[in-house]
Amino acid sequence: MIFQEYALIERLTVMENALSGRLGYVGFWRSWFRRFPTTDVAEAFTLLIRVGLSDMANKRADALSGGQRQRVGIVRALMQRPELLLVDEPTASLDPKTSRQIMRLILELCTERGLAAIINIHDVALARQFAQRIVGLRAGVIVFDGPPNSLDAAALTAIYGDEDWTATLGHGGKVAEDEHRSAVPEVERLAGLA
Amino acid sequence: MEINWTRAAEGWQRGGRFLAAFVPPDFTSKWDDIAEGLLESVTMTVVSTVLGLALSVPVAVGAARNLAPRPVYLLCRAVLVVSRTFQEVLIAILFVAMFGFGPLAGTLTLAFATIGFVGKLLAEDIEATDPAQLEAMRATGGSFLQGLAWGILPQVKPRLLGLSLYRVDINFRESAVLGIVGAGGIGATLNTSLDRYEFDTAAAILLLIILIVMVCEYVSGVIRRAAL
Repeated sequence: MIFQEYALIERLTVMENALSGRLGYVGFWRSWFRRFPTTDVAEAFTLLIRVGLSDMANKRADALSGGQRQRVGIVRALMQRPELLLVDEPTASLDPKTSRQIMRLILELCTERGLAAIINIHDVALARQFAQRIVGLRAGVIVFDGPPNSLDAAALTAIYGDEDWTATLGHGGKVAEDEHRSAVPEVERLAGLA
Repeated sequence: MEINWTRAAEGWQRGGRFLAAFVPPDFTSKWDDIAEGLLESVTMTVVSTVLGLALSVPVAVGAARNLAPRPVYLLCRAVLVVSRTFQEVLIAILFVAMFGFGPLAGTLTLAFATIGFVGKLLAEDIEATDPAQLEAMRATGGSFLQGLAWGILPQVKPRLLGLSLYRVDINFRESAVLGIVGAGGIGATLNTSLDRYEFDTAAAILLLIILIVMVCEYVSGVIRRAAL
């Protein structure tokens, strides 16, 4: 699970946050004294290097920038060795460039590990750029299900309601360059409708 | 109310003589009693704070609306209310009647009062924590206790530390009062010296209490800076 607004333990270090992904596999006292198995620690280091945070391991999470924090969130989620990644608004408070970097990183990691990810996102441009399949929900009902390039103004109106969608879709029909083999479905849904 | 102005005027003189009897403070002639009383007070402070904290943390968790189910919440809130309703001296009188004169009654009194104080303020801090951090820890498969240790504790740690250090301070000062009702500590020594009109010894005790409180203040500042 990757959270909106990161949900990191702000006062703990990046390494502790990464290792917290193993809580379900470690007993209470081991986790209390931070005596995680060396394989877990090694895996955490590998992942931190992979996302480019190797020199941040001992920094407190609240000392990091938004993009760095979400990278820690990604590492924590991967530390659970998941079979399916649930991603909730991963870019909600990130700038456009960082948003794209984070989305690309999630996609790359999913490809490397043969992981599927379900991403809940409201940024249509990002969804079209990175997802392989987009599912649009309105009031809990699927109103769109298809590849990113078939998401047109009519589909967006079906999902969100009437609005001028020309600017949202106006990237000259540029479609996501998906070289990835992993299934990355995209779930669009209206805010407030879980 | 009738005010007798002559008596009021004489009172000033008497008060002056009373205060004059405090100087110079006499540390030496009853030093063994003073040292024993101080040591007893410090012991009472340490034991009661540790015991009180150990009990107040679970009570605080139970009294936090966001963590505890309703029946546990109500029970723990009731414990906190009872603990804070009665002034330390009243509880001490009860405990002295139950356990006899001496520092045991005083220590239990202070531990009980610590539960009410730390428990209430810590519970409020727990209720103000960011729920996403606890949710994330539970989502990684952590148990309830791991959720507390990882999702809650880091968020309330500064407050818990601050409250604990402040409580050490309070418990020491209270231990000086509890002696008056027979619950041990430096208060007992102080009370005895006042009863015997040994005001110079009482002055020495008061100065030492002030000194120890100041040392507490300094040490708590050092610990706070080191930890945060």
